Amino acid sequence: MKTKFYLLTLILSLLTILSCEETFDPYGKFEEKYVLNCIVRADTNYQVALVSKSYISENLDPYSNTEDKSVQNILVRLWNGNDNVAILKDTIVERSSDDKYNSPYRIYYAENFQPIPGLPLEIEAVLPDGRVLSSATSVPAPINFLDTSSDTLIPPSKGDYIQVVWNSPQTKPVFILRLGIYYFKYEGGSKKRYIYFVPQNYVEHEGKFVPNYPKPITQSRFSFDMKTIDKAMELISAGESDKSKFEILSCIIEVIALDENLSIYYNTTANANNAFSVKLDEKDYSNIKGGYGIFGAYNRNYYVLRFKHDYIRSFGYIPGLTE
Amino acid sequence: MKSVIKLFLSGLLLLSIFISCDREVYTGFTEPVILSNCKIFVESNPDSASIYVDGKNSGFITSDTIKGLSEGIHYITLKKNLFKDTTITIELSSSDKKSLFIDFYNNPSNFGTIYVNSNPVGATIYLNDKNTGYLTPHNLTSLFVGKYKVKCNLPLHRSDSTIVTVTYGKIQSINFNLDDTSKWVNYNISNSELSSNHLSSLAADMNNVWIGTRDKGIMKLHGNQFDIIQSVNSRLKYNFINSLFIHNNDLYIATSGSLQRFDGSTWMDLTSILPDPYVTSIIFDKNDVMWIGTQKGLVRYDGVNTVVFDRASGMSSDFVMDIAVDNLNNIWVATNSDGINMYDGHKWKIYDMSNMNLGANLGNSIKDIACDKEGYIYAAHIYSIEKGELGGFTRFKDGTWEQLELNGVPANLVECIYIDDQGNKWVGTKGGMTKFRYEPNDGYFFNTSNSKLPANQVVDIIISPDGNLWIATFGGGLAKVKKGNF
Amino acid sequence: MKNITYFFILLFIYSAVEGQNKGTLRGLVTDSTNSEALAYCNVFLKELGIGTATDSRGYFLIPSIPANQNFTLIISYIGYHTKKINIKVLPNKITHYDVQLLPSDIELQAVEKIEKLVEENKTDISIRRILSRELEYLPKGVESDLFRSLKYLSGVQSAGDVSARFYVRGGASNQNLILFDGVTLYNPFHALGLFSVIDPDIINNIEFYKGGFAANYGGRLSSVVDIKTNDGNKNKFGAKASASYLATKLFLEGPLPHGSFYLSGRKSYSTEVLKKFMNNQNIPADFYDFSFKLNYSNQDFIPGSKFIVNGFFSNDKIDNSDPTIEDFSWKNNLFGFRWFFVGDSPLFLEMGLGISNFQGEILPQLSSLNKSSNKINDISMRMDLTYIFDSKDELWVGFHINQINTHLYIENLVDEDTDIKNSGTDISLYTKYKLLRFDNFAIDAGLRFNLASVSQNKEIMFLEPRFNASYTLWNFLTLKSAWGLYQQTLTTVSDEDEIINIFEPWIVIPEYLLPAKAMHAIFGIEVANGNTWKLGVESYYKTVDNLPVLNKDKIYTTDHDFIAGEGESYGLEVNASLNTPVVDFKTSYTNAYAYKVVDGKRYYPRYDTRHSFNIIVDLKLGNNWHSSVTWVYSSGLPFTEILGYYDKLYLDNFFDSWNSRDPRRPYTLIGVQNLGRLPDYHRLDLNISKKFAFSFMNLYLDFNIINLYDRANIFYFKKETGERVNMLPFLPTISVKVEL
Repeated sequence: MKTKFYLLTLILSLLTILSCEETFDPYGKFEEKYVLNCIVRADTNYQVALVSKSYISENLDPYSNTEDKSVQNILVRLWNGNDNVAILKDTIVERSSDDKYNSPYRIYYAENFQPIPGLPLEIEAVLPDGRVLSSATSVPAPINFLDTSSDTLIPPSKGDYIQVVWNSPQTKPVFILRLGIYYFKYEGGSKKRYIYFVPQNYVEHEGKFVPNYPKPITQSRFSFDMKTIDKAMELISAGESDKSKFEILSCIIEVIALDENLSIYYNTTANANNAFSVKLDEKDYSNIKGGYGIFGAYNRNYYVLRFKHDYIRSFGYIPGLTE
Repeated sequence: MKSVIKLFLSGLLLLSIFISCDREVYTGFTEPVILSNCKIFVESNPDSASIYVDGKNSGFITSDTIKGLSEGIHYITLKKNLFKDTTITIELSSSDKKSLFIDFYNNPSNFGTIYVNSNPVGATIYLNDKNTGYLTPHNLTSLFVGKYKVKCNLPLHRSDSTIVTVTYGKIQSINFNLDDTSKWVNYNISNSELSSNHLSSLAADMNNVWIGTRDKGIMKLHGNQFDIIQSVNSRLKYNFINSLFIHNNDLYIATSGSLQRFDGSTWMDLTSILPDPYVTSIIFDKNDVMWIGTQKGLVRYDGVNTVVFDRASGMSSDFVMDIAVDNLNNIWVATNSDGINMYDGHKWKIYDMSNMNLGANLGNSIKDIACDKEGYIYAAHIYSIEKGELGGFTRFKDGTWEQLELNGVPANLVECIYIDDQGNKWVGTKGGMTKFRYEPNDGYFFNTSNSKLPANQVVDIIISPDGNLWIATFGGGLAKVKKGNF
Repeated sequence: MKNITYFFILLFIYSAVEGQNKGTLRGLVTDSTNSEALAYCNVFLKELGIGTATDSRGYFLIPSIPANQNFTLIISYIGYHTKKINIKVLPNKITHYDVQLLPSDIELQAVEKIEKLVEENKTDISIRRILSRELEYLPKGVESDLFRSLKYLSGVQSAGDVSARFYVRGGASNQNLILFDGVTLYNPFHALGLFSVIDPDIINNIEFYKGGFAANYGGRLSSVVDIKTNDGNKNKFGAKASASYLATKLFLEGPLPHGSFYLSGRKSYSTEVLKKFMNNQNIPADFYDFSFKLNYSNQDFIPGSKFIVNGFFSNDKIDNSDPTIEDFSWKNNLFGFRWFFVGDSPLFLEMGLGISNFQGEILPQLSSLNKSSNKINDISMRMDLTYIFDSKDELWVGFHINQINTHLYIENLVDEDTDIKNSGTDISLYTKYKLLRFDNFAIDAGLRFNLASVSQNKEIMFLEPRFNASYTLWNFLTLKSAWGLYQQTLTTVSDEDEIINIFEPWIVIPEYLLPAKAMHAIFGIEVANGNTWKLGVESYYKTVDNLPVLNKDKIYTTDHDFIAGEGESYGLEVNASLNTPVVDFKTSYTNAYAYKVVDGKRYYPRYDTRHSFNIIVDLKLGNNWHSSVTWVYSSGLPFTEILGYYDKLYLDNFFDSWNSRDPRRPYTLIGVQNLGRLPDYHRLDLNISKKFAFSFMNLYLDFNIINLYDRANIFYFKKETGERVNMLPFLPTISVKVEL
């Protein structure tokens, strides 16, 4: 009996020990890595680059790190061709109050650097210790909207959708676009300008219309269903009884053309996992030599569509521009 | 049995070979970190040269230290506008800090040449306002790159100068066309201190020529010296000059908003005596009575009293364009759109299309009017396509008006009429000017193609007391024709 | 093809008349209560000292028995009363006996001691035969599950408690052939791979080949799970209903004129318990599966024939009410027809027609996911002939024709579609000869000819030779070995590093790659003392060439999705079992190594466990009480170490200016794939079950505790948040079954 008791005690204590959660360190050898991010916009002359370094987090949660890892004293230069160069200056930018970092973040910027499409773009960041992060890309040329095959008026003269067609000199283009209805609203004697972004479609969920915004595309055309535009026009004044407070101006389609590097990077970062799959590995695309991050360029293009006055009036709104 | 054991043992051996050991797996690849720790200090004479490293603009300009260079051989190129690119090959290592000095001037190919020629040749060459002692044509050699002012001087010709940029190893050619100023001198904003090329009227006294402009006030020209009189630097009220008149060495100035008198040092404002500040013309009659044309009437001012004539007092119009006085001291008034009014001291007589008995509808808008010693009255009718008025040049004597044609210039686009002391009639038009003594069609004419007249729209003409002819143009500035050359 | 069949039939008939005054005994052993076939029974002819075992269909055949003599045939089987019958065979004829065994309620009796161990199938190696009963008594998480039970076997690795996916001897999970009554089942998993779709109640027996499988199986590189289902009670109508935390089940069976049927259905009703599996994440999973089987055997209609029609349907949905979260649905439809024929010659003929169809779909709704769908349609026809010579040697001939259509449609982020459609036919012909005439030496040598292939790549392997041999040194010690080449033309588009995935889309291996090819070499020693104890040591060496591996470096849409890798695995498995009347004790130890070589870089795959150790103790406590205790240990699985984090730029909105908000979020830098090791895994499970017998019904209560001592076995480390996700915690479950 005694032996049985001892045996039981032994087994129980053994089990208790076994059930302990073993400490587990998921970290390999930490090496400081540097990250350079710069997305050159061809439609402006103000360019920004960000340089930061990698870190580890004591409690294994990267989100608990509240120390900004921006790196200072870096020589960041942007080239457009061999002659046009900008040495980026650094400054700090205040973060929004809900940001996890409590210190402002450091950006490097150039105020007068508007790249010329066609010429190669290069970046080089020399860190204080002499480490170099570099990359090259090219600026996508502006796209040409084809007036003959694009609609200019809403609603269109025929068909139940509006279509915008353009052509792009790029070989593997990726476009991101949005359609905004620009309008004034009279508020307390003055009028304020607003933009309502029109989704690709609405999905009705629990009595609400959930917008589904357009995804990036590779084709050089896009169409918006008139039903969606009708709905968007309706939703502009949702909850307002006095429709004459709204003065509708026009519709502007913005098309951002990404360069190839940015397209790939976008694809890898936006490639969302589904809600249930657990993936332990993923591709981290970077075109930065000597570190991580992305160097890319994009061009933003605008196309204006006007509203027919009868159409605006059919919602009770005031037309704001000549037909 | 033994063989079986052997088999068993060999089986065990096979087995142990299978599970012998762990294979080596890939453990990663660490990219060697190449540090770009080299620096170089680059200086140049002159400084502010762009520093290119290995063919790429580094963004740095001399004198500065370039950081972030990798070890090894680099090509440092200094680029400075006008200078020849200078490339130096340098080997860098992170341990030592090198410096580089490039004196562009040590390189003979960084000098340039200016070839100066002129038409006519033989002009003295000035470089940066210093007489070089050379005459055109000549090569100015061994010049540092940069900007130079080259000037050529030739007697009786207008001096000319230009700024020349000398780049390395190149010959810059310049050729001056020197303006012959022995007979005719043109003044414009680019070759003189004339403030505007858009002139409106002229007046001359013994020493000065006064030039009214449409936008830049008045210029006083004495000798070769221009004095600018504008609202910003004098008491001149408006820079829009309608008319200038010299009387007893005083300058009377009619502007778009004032009537002023200037005796060379003091200003007097006469605007307050007028029914309207927009003054179009001024004249003194044989009794030294001053007549002033305004938008709202003609004013007679004898120095004390003011009489205003307008529609109410018998004129056909309130808007006076020009005034003239004939031998009989009659006052002839050109109106804006109602013909010509003549005042004999008692009453007004009106001449217009209804009673001038001309063959065509020349129009009742009169631009200018003048009287000669022979008793002729000359009037310029304004051409107006809207009104159907043909415009034209008319003459009146002994109760009869006649329409005249002018030699070489359009008679319906007359801008001004000037009659000199010899009785020559000088008529400025939009298409040049003409001069005649008796009959208008036997005079000779000037325009931009047959003379040095700088513009075809001639707005005023005078002969100054020293005998020079002055021509004010609209758009081309001022022309002076020296005495004896017209 | 028809001519070949006739040729063989004629050949067999011709050779059958060779024997002189000898006859052949054939029998079918069934359960007396429900007439279900009893596979792997011991059949022993006492007087001649020879014996055999029933096959998976319950049949046995003993040739060359002196005719017109009386013999005693002893049929014994664990859990059944041993039966002795007197037999007499006719010369040059096959004498058929149907034998029914009565189940012994009290399982205290051992199998009657017989003088000689009846070998199962001498040349078989690396095979485990599993009876449905055995599945019942294993501890189960929520539901008893076929694939989860396989993980208790040596040489079978798993990537964790959560998934039912299994990896055999270093092979990938898509290299396992799942045959459901002879028809391939493509995605046999419910609810994110947490459970298998096959309800254990419909299973009669499973033959599980861990490798070295003979020429009659093909199309997969790693293993074969050959599932045979029950026929349905031929004696009386019966119904079973059961409920677990997850699903309810209903099973109906009964006789039909000249046959029987069963209908079985299972439907999930609660997802609460799934949270335990998925780190407390709510999974709105909804699934059902349904199967039926009809069989018909009429001596007046083609005597010796049995006709079987069966079907299997499973359907899964993950249906979120929130439109911003994607939905999923996938289903299997399987339909089979078989004709099994035993004629007047020692010949077994089986012909089958099957349709297996899988469809999976991702419905992105408003989520950022993209639409994708996968379809596979497999229409198969097979014929298998087994001829048993008087010498006991066997000749197997057969052909398999599979008309396979695969369709994979993926919409990528930028609206470009990937639309991979493949259709083709695999035609394989096999023949093998089993040399069984010697007492201590046996060979199974076969060839599999690939006459046509669905693969677009012309360089398929035409011939797959297979060779198994055994040599019995002493009565108790047998040496075994196997060698074979294997080929696989289909693969799944799945990332091994995705440890939980919804379903794995199947496609034909793209034409720019050769079909995957494997070589197995196995060597084993078996030591046994009757049925009491058994010790087996097996070592294996396996290589895989042209292994299709997802191209992780794919950047451009024009880049290939797959690249060819290599696999290599080897190991040693030790199995020991002891059967006593009260306790069954099984233990196994595996020392295994698995590698993959991709791009010249060798790495450990996710499921590479160096050491694993299992103990299963099965206690028959009497009075209808039954209990089992299982302890599983395995050394740590590989994982990819975290090298740190950096703040990565996310292009959430191109239309926002950068200055308004820092667009960076932490991103985890990971090290070389699977270079690290997780802590060891071990778990103790307990099962206690009791049967309550009432006059009109039986009630089964089944109580399970998974992870009795609540070991925190790490499943994975959420690199995004630093959260450690553990596998199943202490999880008691109960299930109830009512049998009418």
